[in-house]
Amino acid sequence: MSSQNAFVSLLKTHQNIVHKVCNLYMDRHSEREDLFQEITLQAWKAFPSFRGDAKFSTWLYRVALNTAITFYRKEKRSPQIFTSDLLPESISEDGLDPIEMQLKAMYVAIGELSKIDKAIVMLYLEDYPYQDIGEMMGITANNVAVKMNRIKIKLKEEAKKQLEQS
Amino acid sequence: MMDLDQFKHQLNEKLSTDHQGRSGEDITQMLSKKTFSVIEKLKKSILYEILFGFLGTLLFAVLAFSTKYYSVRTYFGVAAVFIFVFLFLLIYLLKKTSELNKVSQPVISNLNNYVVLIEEYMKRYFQFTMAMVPICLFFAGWLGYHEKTPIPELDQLIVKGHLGIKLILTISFVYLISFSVGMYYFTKWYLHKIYGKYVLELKDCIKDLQEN
Repeated sequence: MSSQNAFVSLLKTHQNIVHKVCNLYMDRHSEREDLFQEITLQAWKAFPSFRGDAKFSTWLYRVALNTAITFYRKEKRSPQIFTSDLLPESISEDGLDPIEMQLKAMYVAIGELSKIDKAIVMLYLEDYPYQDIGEMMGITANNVAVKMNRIKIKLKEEAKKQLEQS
Repeated sequence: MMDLDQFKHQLNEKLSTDHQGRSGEDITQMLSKKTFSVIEKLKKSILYEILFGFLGTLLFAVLAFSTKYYSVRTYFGVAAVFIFVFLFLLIYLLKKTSELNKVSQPVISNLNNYVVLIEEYMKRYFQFTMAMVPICLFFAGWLGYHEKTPIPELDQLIVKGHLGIKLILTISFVYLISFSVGMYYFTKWYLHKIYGKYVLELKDCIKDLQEN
């Protein structure tokens, strides 16, 4: 199997990771498409450095998060407003029950986080231990724990605010 | 009241399922498309600068060897040598940019590399422009003043306009100062417009990561 075929096959299997990062970092469909393409290209360029001693999913998370955090958009856009209209369809349906509304509020609150906090939350949602999150972000596990506590409080408050507004 | 852990599973599922799956063909097609990465943009800029620098060196060398005027020959000859030397700096910068562009490293290292590379590029670009402005202007003035071969068009302009040497020197001096000051602010504004805001964003991310 050629290197390109191997890469395409691996990325196809793990594309959920890239979609997750795109959904979290970009609010518009066209922007998500651009970021997906950019992550794919960056991963392909960095693929020779993937030695297989780490899991491909972990390696891809690093590439995807690095690309999303440093993603550069030249054209001017209107300020990003994370509204329910921009949420994925399954979240923005009408007639939500209380649990769904809370989920929606939490989703919006995550969208309000900084780029770094989003990355930490994403890895936390994936059940990565603090040690691994720290290695991916380049900080200590202790620092991740402190940040995660702070983020949880922030999310709780922000989600509450979102619910009150709706 | 709800917290993140309560929705961990649902949020993870929502994030990963709200998309259209890509086929192998879609992904293969993407591999030939262009990138938006700022580092790739920098590399492209440096490559263009190397190309234009090389062409500039050739053009200036041809001009230097083909003119009868001593001042023009010296001016373009020195400029050709100067740009030729600068080409090596650009090649070094290109090599360094390629080496540091590793997206599979930890986020903080990647951010630091980005900031170092962009700031280095901005610094060199600014230094080169600022060094070139007064050197070129003074050098051109000095060479023009010491030119032995008469330039009829210039002589006619001075005679027709009744321009005395003091007035010519004053005009040249004002032009030199205003051009240098203008270039200083323009280059600063231009670099900030292209990379300044972006670098600040990256620095904020680094600060965010380092915060306890």
